[in-house]
Amino acid sequence: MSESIIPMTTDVLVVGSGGAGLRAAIAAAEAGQSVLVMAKGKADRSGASLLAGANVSADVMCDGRSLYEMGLDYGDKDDSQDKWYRDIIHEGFYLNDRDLVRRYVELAPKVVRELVESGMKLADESEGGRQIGVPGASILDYLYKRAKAEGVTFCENTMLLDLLKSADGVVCGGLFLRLYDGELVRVGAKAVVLATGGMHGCYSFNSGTSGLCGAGQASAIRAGAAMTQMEMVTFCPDVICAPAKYRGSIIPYIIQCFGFGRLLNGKGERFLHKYMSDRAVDLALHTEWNKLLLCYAMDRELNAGLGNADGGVTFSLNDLTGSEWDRLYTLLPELKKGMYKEIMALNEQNRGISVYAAGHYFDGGILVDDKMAATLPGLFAGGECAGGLFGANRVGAATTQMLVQGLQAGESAAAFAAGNSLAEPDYALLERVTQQAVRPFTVQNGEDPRGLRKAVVDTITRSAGVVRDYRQMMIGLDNLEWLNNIDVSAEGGRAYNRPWIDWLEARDMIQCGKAILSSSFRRDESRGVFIRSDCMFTDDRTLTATIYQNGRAIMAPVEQGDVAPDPVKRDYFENLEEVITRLSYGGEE
Amino acid sequence: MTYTIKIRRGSKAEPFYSDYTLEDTGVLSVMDVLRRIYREQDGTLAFFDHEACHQAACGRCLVRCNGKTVLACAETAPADMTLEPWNEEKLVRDLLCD
Repeated sequence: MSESIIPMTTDVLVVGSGGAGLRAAIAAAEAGQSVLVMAKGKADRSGASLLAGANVSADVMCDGRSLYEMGLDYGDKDDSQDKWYRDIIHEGFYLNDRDLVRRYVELAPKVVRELVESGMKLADESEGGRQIGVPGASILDYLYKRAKAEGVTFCENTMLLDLLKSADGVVCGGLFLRLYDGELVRVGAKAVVLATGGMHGCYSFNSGTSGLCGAGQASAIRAGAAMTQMEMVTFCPDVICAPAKYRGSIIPYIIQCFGFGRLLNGKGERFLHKYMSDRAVDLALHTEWNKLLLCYAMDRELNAGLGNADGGVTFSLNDLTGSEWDRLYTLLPELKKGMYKEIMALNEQNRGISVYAAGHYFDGGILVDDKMAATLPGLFAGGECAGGLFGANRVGAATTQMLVQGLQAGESAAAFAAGNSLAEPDYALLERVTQQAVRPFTVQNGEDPRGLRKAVVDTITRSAGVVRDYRQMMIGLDNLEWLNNIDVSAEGGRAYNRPWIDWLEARDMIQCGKAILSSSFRRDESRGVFIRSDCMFTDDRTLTATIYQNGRAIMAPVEQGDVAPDPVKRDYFENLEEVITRLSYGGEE
Repeated sequence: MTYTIKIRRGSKAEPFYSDYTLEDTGVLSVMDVLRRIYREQDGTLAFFDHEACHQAACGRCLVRCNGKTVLACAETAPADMTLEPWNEEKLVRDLLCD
């Protein structure tokens, strides 16, 4: 071995330290296994969990009946797990993996009850009777404390480079980079849980933390695991794009979800009605379906050259009356503090803020069964990096997903670890992935990693955005193939060598981007958050999910069970409005 | 607006200063300034940015800006600034502290 590598071993290795990773670590440790969590940032402040609900009020969902039984009187006692199950499938346009949805609704009461009984402060109001509201940081604090009490070990500021497999194909650990000293670390484990969150970095404008670059997804792809529904990307409409200081904040979206604010184009006009019916505009403004509808309208408005000077649209609160301002501040007292206070000052001065659709949530990811087992033995995944739960559109809570799937992945990994011994890695594979990771230090006169990273992100942003078309996707995929073959050079030492980190992240994003675009190609329709301007219809005659593996995407039928649509092909918006009428909360007008 | 930035670099034992200027028309945070310097002028500059929230929630991007310890993402960048590491004992390199 030409590189010196620091060895570590554990029973269960968890990659990622957001809500899913921490909940998995707790579950595996409670089952009696030793657990090591590798966190890219700080162990209790990594990942998107922190920013859920702009760290003001993250929705954590559970069926209303169970909430009511927890003593929360706003829980809808007429709700049931089955009603919720059906709604999630309607919301997902029938592409949801039914077993994953069943597991989600069944386990939700357990993980939500834990939060409620921990004594954390819940937001006073609750819409729809199916959720509680808590700041993302409170969930992380609670989980981190519990994991520490269970004896979980943490390594911080470490980045996953690749998964390791034994000679007979069992996942048996991972190769990591310790960012601050540049040392490579090899962790040997009996089972591995990937909980690395979304692929936000793939989009130049996104609402995630800076480290979310799809390391788990890309490592799984390189190891040969199957991915599913990678074409499904949810954008969040009202994310600040200017002023630069507040870029990426979803606070206008949170405000809009509480019923405040208007969206205006560059001419100061409302524009939603240009792109959809009155009924759809109503849904866009007053329901959780706002994400896809508003993003679509914004994209079309910018495409028509009607954006504002900042390349977005304007989120305006200037029609609020005095009593409405009072009500807003009563509902969201955090708006009077810190950075949010500065943002609200811009609003109060009638200057408005510019918002646009940002890469926000990745519905697709690593293909797992209802035990959260991936298609490679020894590998498990939970939370946003796992795909299939929400099908073509997530309305349900990602916070509940991370808790439920983290718990399940941790339990399953612990059971696997208990029944298997620590396997030796395939040393030829270890040598190969090690040499690939340090390659920029061996290349002379290669390209600048910063430029490569920018080119990768620009490519994915342009070709896999809110509204896609065949030509853009083709150009994007060609570009990524080309960028994948570009050699870069890193200079200087390895300790916190930022250009090297940029390249490692760009390498992962190329894998993710190829999976997103290859899967997008296979879907010749529009469905849920996936919108193709050259296929503005939804075809319910064939309900298939994309599976991406070893560089190829195929379509596989989705078992429909007892919640299925009529087998017809119709206009995208017509279909969307029809789906809404089937929801337990949607109802007839 | 022209930003004039002096940044303390290197290790605790061997510090040195680098000077930068950049132009921007918008409201920038200190973090925005650092990211622009890294991307456009100096790829060797180290500061906490590998898992940062940019929204004053994670609390990891502390720096000293003109003598005051601030979160780089939450602090509006002044036109003239001297940036230094916030904690000598935890200094990894440049502005990055563990």
